[in-house]
Amino acid sequence: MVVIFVILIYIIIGCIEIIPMIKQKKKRELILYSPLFISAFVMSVLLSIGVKIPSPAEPIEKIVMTILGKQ
Amino acid sequence: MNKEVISDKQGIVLVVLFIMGSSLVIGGGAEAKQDVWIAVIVGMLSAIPILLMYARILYLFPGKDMFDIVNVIFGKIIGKGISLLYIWFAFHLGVLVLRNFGCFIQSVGLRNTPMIITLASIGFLSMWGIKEGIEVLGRWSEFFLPIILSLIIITLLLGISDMELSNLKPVLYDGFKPMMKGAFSFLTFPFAETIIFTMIFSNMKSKKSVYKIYMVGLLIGGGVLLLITLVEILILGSNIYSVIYAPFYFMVGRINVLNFIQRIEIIVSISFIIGGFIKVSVSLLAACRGITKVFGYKDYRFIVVPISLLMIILSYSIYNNVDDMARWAFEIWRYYAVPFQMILPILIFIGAEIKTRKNNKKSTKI
Repeated sequence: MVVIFVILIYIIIGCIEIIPMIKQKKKRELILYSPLFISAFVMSVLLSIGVKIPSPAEPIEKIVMTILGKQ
Repeated sequence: MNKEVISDKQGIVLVVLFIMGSSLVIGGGAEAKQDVWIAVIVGMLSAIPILLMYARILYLFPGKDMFDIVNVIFGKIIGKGISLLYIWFAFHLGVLVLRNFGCFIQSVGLRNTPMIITLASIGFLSMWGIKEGIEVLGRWSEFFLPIILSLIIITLLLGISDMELSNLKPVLYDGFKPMMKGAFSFLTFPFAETIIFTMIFSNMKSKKSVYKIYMVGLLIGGGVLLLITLVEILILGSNIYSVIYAPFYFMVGRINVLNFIQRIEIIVSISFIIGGFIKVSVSLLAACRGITKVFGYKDYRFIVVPISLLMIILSYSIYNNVDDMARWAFEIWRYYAVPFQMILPILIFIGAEIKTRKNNKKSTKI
């Protein structure tokens, strides 16, 4: 149920944002926009079906702790 | 498109709200115990030279922001590397503030609402704010700062009857070390985070106004923070202050004037929502500007939506619970932030001084 809702929201955002860009033929903008948008879409769909996305908090914590030598 | 000039007053107000933002609710520096208020003063004093350094970097290159400046100083490749680091820092700061926000709302207000709803609402608001540009944010905060300040001052005045001076004693009982640790935590948590502003302030009214914005903003923001921490310690005492997650909220809940004025916690929520919104928006703006600058675009507006969507998703999935977040904010963040807030700016500052001296010599020879 949540998945359908998420997909719907992304379709609405896509209609509002991407279609004007295609109409104005902003190719360079689309090249940067689409990978970011698609990765956001994939991550939200994964979250909504209950997959856990690896968080950057733990690796950063490990790096900080090893530099400080605290373990 | 990028010629958005903000006035001195708007800049100051943005800095004040940014400093007050999340530190207002999550009291830091708990290891200083009853000397937290001294720790705020020491943190503020040690922030002055660092903020002067940021202002000097911007002053040497008028009309440019951090991402342009590193490109000029270090060349394209290293400059882009440093820019990427700063983009990550701005993005991560936005994620953390958004998460603080969600945790706060979930723990004090909307207990059964999924956190993603609160995160998404604030995220969409910030997205809209940034699409309108920094001028709109400046005017918006110019309107709201007096409201928050008067609300906070009224709240603090209402609490006078609950204050106990004995909570402040003994002063410096454990020596300087815990106090200095607290001061360091205050330095990295609200004060030196203003490095984000070097990434968005590029067009000022005059060349000198950077100094004014940073210094007056620091004094007002730090002053409010000092007042609030002092009153928190006076009313709650150091033991409770170090244990609870949102001391300001808890403290306001204790205020009870003649059994008539009580439960005015909503004031804290309002001021946190206003400050936190500005903090999230400023970080998001810095991240968007950085990404478009690194890839060589002129306008940042088209990228705002995907970046803020990513920010909402990451802030939802970054921690498992409130304890994780509190531990990160109080123990890891202070060390993690040092390279971004002090080491890299010092390098950039030295580079900027050398570069401008060289340019001056060249121009005098010709």
